[in-house]
Amino acid sequence: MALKVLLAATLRKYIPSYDSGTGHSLEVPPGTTVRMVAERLEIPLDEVRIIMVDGIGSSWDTALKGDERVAFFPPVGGG
Amino acid sequence: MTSHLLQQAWTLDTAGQSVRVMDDEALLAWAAKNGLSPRQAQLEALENGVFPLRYLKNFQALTLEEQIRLCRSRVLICGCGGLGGVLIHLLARAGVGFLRLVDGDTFTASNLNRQWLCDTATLGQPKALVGKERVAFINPLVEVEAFPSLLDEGKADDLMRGTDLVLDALDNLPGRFLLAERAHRLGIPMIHAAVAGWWGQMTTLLPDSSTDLHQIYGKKRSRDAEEEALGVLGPTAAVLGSLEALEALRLLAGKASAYSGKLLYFDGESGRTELLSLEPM
Repeated sequence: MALKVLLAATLRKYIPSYDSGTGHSLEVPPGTTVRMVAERLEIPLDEVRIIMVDGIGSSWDTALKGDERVAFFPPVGGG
Repeated sequence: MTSHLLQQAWTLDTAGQSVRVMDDEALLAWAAKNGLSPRQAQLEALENGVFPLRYLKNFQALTLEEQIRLCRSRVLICGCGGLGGVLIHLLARAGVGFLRLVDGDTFTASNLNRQWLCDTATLGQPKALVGKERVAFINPLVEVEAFPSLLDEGKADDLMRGTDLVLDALDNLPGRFLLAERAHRLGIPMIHAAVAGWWGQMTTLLPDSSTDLHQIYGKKRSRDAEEEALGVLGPTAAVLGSLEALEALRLLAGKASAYSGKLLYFDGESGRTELLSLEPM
């Protein structure tokens, strides 16, 4: 099983091949933190406002087993 | 003279309760005859236990006391576009007594997908002035002022002064930060909402709260081209505008804030709404 990384709004630009239907699959060893996932995908940490792991609000230090759904959300500014 | 007004009321049985009600016509005629504003007339009726008929379905969701609080309230709505158009419609219908509308823009064709005040008849017209006209159609008992100019440092304090609540319905970050800073300084609560594409977020900044927009935007101070390219879907703006209107009614009615210290994030693509504590990450 791989991680399923879900990106919202402007964060999708960091993975040009991102598929909004399926998300982005990523193999990581158990114990990998959310921060390490973002760094590996070269997503600037300060552009992420919300982190959800399997639907639960999480932090950069949350450790993963490797088969979760990790979602990153940026702030938006339109009206 | 109030007795003449109250003679126009009649009793209606609704949901097993008797309510004294009055229609717009009687309120407007009484206001005109006595040289009062329609807002003063509805306040007079409410304070004498009479519900304007147009608020009948507010009744029970709101108490008479809460409806009076709405009528007495003064609200600044900054931005009359995607979020603002929704706020203006819903707050006027709810019976918020005074609305001050600010927007320096005019309607263009690209607004038609989401901005409720924009239609084929209002293209090219100033958004704030259209908002004022629309409020008069929707609820003539509401007092409304329109400022068809951009929010800037020189005007912000004057626009906010005398209001009980500031609603952020802007489309840019410098304006939002200016609004938040001035609202905090003047001790006025502010509700922030923003949208892009399928997504939107909101929070409430109470004067005594330590949370601010930095906790949402970090170092970001402008929208990048990628975000602009997301556009805004009509339903996204309507959802966030409606959530902002509900929070406004809560605060104005004297209820607790649902979003102070919290960030609501709406993902219209997945259909999920998240509510998280707002703490520095």
